[in-house]
Amino acid sequence: MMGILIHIELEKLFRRGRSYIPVLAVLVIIGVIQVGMMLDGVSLIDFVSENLQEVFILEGNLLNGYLIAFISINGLWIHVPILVVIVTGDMISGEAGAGTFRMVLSRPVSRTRLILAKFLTAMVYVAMLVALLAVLSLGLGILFFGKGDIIVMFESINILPEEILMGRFLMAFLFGMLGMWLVAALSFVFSALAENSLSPIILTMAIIILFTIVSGFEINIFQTIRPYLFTTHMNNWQSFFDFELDWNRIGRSAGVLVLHILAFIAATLVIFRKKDITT
Amino acid sequence: MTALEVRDLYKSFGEIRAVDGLDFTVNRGDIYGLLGVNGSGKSTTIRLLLHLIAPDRGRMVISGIPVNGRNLELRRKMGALIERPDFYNYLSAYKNLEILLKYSGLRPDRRLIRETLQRVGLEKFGDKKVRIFSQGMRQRLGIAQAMIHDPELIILDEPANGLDPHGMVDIRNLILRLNREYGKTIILSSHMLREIEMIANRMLIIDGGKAVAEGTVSELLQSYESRLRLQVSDVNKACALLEEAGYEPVEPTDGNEIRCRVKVEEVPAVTRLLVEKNISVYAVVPEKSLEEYFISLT
Repeated sequence: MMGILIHIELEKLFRRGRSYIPVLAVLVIIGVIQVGMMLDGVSLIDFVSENLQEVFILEGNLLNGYLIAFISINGLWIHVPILVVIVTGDMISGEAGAGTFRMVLSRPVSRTRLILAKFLTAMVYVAMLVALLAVLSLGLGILFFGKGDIIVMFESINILPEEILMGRFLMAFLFGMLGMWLVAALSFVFSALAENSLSPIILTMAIIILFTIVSGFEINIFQTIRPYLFTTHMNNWQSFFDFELDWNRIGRSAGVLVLHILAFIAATLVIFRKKDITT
Repeated sequence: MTALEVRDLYKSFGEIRAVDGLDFTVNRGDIYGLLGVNGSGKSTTIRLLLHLIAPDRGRMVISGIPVNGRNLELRRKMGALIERPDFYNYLSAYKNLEILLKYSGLRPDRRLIRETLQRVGLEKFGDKKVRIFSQGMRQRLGIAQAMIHDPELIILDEPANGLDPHGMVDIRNLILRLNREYGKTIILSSHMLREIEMIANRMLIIDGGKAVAEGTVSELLQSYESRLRLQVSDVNKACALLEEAGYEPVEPTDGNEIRCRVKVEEVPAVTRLLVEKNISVYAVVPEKSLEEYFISLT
């Protein structure tokens, strides 16, 4: 029955116009970045590396496909979550609001299985969206700008050679996917509570923005709670651009994200199993 | 045989008690009418039967199986149209029925879907998106989805909503056919009392979440003292006679008509009394209806 439910959910998802808005948005975002870099990428590189060039001699193709992909992956912390919740935030509340749960739940369908099928469908959708972002940003970037090393500045300055970059990007996108699954799981909690499409989207984004701001503030009290915020761990895709990979840190963050996903889905199940279908 | 038994059923939403100690029994093969004004608790009762909402207290048994969140197989035996028919608007009528068959754990049979669409008069619109459907077409599709998986018990909440007179007759005939030819037990909730009066054999009248009357339609009407319109040859004499016999109030109307309040079983005695006193009776018109009875109770 689970297979049938997932099949139905996928069919509903891909027959809705709303599901293609994020796809279109990713195409536009990647397109804009590529065109922008084509038109003015060289002066941007010169401006960003101005200070570095006083200390280092920089040679080779700095404006390359990997740099384009790196700029694109930076969107994982804010614009991709918005695109994800547009679809996943509506998967439960949309049906409650439209009244279709009356028909579905008056049939021999377990509420637990229905929510799990919906979440697995959301995971497939998110995976496809992140894969699209990865393929387009890396593929088009390499096609138009070629390959080369990149200089990354987070906690330190890392110069990453071209040879290791494809693997690093794939791992970073996979980690980013985990973060986006968490966003989907959080939106499910609000979606189970709401009976309209907008509330889960606004509430999920509000929490992500609030947590991101809190984890970014250099104030003691915020620094104390920072390790417990999932947004801190979502941003650890950046660890894949350290020269030496810190697997302990990556593993810990991945574990925290998985635990959050499980907790959010458990909360969704508790809410939905008790929910009176009154719409 | 009992198809549905409801005992001591309660449901509140905050301070509002929507269902207040409801008791009723539906026999197999019944067309059972649920009557009540808006907000009387009909739809809440139906949602409770389908376990879309959980009761505060009470017991519901369908075909010997208790209704609760665990007995999923029970829902295979039931089909329902609850309030307004809502569908996946971005899908066709055909696709909606196909998906709902899959939810019922059945294989989507192309011929069955086409036949069901034909039975409700939507055979030409199967491939059209539900988004463009009128209220009447949605109502027909709602009935189609309630019966497509061949349930034993069909619950229809206001099935005539939004239908034109032809549509209402079609749906009434369809309900009667489902009951008589296919042996389906049907629970029909409606505020259109005439509809219930025409097709239900038993009914429950609900008011404020409570049962105020239950029984066969004829039983309920017989127990009700209603108005009788009589066309007679001598109005004054007839009025005096009837008042003398204790039928009050007797009201002369225009021409040769009088109105009085009598029970159905007393009609022969009234006409006999008049005829025996040489008053010609040209017409006896009962003015009672289920609607009048319903209003008197709620």
